[in-house]
Amino acid sequence: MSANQVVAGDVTSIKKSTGRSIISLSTRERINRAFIYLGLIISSAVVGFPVYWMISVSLRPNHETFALPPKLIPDNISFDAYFKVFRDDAFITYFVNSYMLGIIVTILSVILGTLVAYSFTRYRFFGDGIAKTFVITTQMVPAITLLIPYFGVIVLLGLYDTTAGLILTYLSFSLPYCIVMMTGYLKTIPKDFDEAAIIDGCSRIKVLYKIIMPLALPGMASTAIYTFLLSWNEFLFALALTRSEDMRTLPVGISMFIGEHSLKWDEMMALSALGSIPVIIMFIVLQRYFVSGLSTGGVKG
Amino acid sequence: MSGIALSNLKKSYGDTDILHGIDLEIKNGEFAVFVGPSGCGKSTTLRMIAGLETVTSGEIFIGDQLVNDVQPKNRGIAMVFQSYALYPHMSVYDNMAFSLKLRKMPPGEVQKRVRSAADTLELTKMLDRKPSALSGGQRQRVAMGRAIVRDPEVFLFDEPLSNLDATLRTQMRAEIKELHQRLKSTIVYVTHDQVEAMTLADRIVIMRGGKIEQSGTPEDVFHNPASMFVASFMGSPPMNLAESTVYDNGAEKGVNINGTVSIISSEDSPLSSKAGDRVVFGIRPEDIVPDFESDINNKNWTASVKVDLIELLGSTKLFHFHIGTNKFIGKAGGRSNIEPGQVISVVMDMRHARYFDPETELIIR
Amino acid sequence: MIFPILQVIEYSFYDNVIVTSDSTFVGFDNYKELAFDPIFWTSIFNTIIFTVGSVVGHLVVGIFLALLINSPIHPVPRAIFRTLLVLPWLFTAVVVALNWQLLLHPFGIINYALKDFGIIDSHVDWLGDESVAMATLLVISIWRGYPFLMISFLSGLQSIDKSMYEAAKIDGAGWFRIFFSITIPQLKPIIYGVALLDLIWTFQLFPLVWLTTGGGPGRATEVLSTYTYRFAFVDFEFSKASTVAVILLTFTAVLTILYLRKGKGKSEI
Repeated sequence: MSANQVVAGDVTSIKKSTGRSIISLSTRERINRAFIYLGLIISSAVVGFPVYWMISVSLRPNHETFALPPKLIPDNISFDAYFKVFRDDAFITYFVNSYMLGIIVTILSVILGTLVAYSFTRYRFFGDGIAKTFVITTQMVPAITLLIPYFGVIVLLGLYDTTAGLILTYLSFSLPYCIVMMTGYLKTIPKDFDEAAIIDGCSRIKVLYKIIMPLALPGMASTAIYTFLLSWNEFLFALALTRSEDMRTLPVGISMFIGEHSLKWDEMMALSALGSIPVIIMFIVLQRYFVSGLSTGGVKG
Repeated sequence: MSGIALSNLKKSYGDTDILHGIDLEIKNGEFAVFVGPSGCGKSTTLRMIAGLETVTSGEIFIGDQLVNDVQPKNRGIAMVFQSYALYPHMSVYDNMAFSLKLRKMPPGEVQKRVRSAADTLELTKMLDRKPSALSGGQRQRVAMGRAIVRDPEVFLFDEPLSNLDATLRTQMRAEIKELHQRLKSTIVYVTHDQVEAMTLADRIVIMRGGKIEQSGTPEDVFHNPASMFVASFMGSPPMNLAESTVYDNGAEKGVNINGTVSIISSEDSPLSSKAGDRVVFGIRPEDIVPDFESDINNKNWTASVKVDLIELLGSTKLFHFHIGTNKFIGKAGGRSNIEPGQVISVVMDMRHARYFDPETELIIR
Repeated sequence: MIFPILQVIEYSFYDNVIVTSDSTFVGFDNYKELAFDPIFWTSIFNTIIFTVGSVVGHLVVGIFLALLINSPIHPVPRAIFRTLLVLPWLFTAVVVALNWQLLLHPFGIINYALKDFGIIDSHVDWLGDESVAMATLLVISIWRGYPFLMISFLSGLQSIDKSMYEAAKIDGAGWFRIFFSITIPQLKPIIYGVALLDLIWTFQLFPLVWLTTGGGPGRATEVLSTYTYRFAFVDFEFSKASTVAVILLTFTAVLTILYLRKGKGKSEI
């Protein structure tokens, strides 16, 4: 393209030199690109192998797990491990607990968070800064440091080994997070909408659910999913604040199998895969939010 | 239909006073334009009429009703916002129908009203679109349509044209004027653009620092500014203002600018100050013309000046000159042969001169 | 959030908190005892090795992969590779631990492959051998944690004004020169902010360590967080646990202040 645009100067010499450089440039580019793809493929293979192995093991009978030589691809694919997981009451309990906890915490904190954030943005409150500090501390203060006093309080309230105790604990982390996220989001919705709606005849509550909520829906959705994931992945508090088999969440449940000798690797890997699927799906759907949440400028994913 | 009355209206945020007692009466069917620099309190006043801001003290009447504590929706008003504030998740139709539905109006009536408003505003083809699919001018029309469907007693416009480009602004200005002539409703319109104010208003209310500087018809405000601020705010270019000294030699009374140029006052605009008083002498650019273009034959009103700069506006030419440190702008015909650096004789039409008190900045009558 | 922090500081000056109701004020006794506890010093040493090793690993791998993904390739494979390379981040610590235990099993595939290639002579118990456990843990931690940095760098790279590269090319700068004179300086605030954040988080990391090695074998991978947990929920010595927790808190507080001061408004989260 640039060769055709050259018009001035010593025509023959320019043609020669640009012609040569263009050929070498394009081969060099092609080689570069090949190296880049090679690098990406090797990295992905190295990084992705544990994931592949997890799925691969989950799809073979347990006795093939340590077959020598290892079989990269199972001889015959079987979903037995998955069926076993679904028939096991304990596993079902873990799933139910994790989903229930995640959903309750998410709904409560997103709704409360949106309400509080709305009042922060619409009425001048000093609470905005407090919520922000709160979030920074929850992100920076070691969880294990907080665990000890939390444990003390939860025991004192008689909430040890109860769902309510875990819900309360998780809410204390997720609510400030939701408030800050939603405050940031609601700030981008101009007050003019509220005022136009008030003149049109809405009450404050109607403004919130007829105008603001529909506009804030993407923000609420990404906040909700983030909150759900925090709860879904949480391990330390779930481990320390519960004791009985019935109360275990998925991460705690799976962890109980670690170190056991006669490990049912196929079932464990199936369980791991099943436990990871919600997270991976949510990430792929919301990739753009994750990335833009991290970015410093207005970058499009 | 009803008028609006504001009586000693005040607004403060904490210790900061935004409005210092506004008294104003807007007649039924009048097109009132609030104009002034940003921060003068014009938008606050409008928002208080709308009920979006609380009243610190004073009274607001719409028609005969004291509305201080009346909900915005019950004030019989409709408002067009600067940002238009069209609900992004609703279609054009739903945006316009929203307030009617909230009022529990029968669906047939809602449809009739929206259709008719859309017809007038040429929006019929766009009723199913979302606001994001409309151009700036179309959004502006939807915002107006949303106000029209409610058939309000009073329309409130908050800088509605400031987001449009110059051509569209001129066009929409005409449409708003037409709308007012057809609907004959009371309109309160806020702008910082004095041209918009001049062209639209039945009554201009010029505000500054939370007070009304002057309120009157466009002609009145333009020709008889109550203060130096109004004189310099209205008109483009603004009125020339120059500090000067009154002299009186018994036979003739006039102003002396910079100790170099003396001009005798006219009986049509008498100078009431005493000899030796300092006054600010004001004269509009269109009242300063080159001698050779003027039909006024009064040697007492001429001065010989050197042209600093010429600005051609097409039909007219602005020429800049100075007397001492005072800068002046005069207006000549578009075809006048004036060059920068040239010394010309200009005539100042003292029949339209105005004199202001340099202390109070108010007009001396 | 202030209350629990004050509470844990208070605990650290008392004896037998939580388990008994008649705890007594013991002043700095818990701290003194800890100062003479060799395991405490081991865990501090381990924490530093683990944190620095992980963060450096995250940085190197993160920047390298971000640059690869950001190179001028077709957007579809780019999106696929980006998603693939983010995967490790999406697994919860338990799954990561379990997954690697399977891979690193004495009869597992890694041992087999390494032996096959002649790199090792006999099976190594990667997580059970004191001499290699920390190194193994580092590999797992790097695998798990680099994607966060990679994504941050990637968005940073994408926000660099393209015209800067063009200007540099016209000025005759080569790839190497462009990388060190434009890319790195432009990324610097992000690198600094994200590295500090990673430092803070890795310093207090609990689940991954607890679940893969449990601090063992012996105390080979004992870090401050696992040491705290062991005191509290294995030995039920909540006072001593609080003391370690306060020390851990002090470290992270210093890092947090650094982060907040330098990175103000520079990076979200």
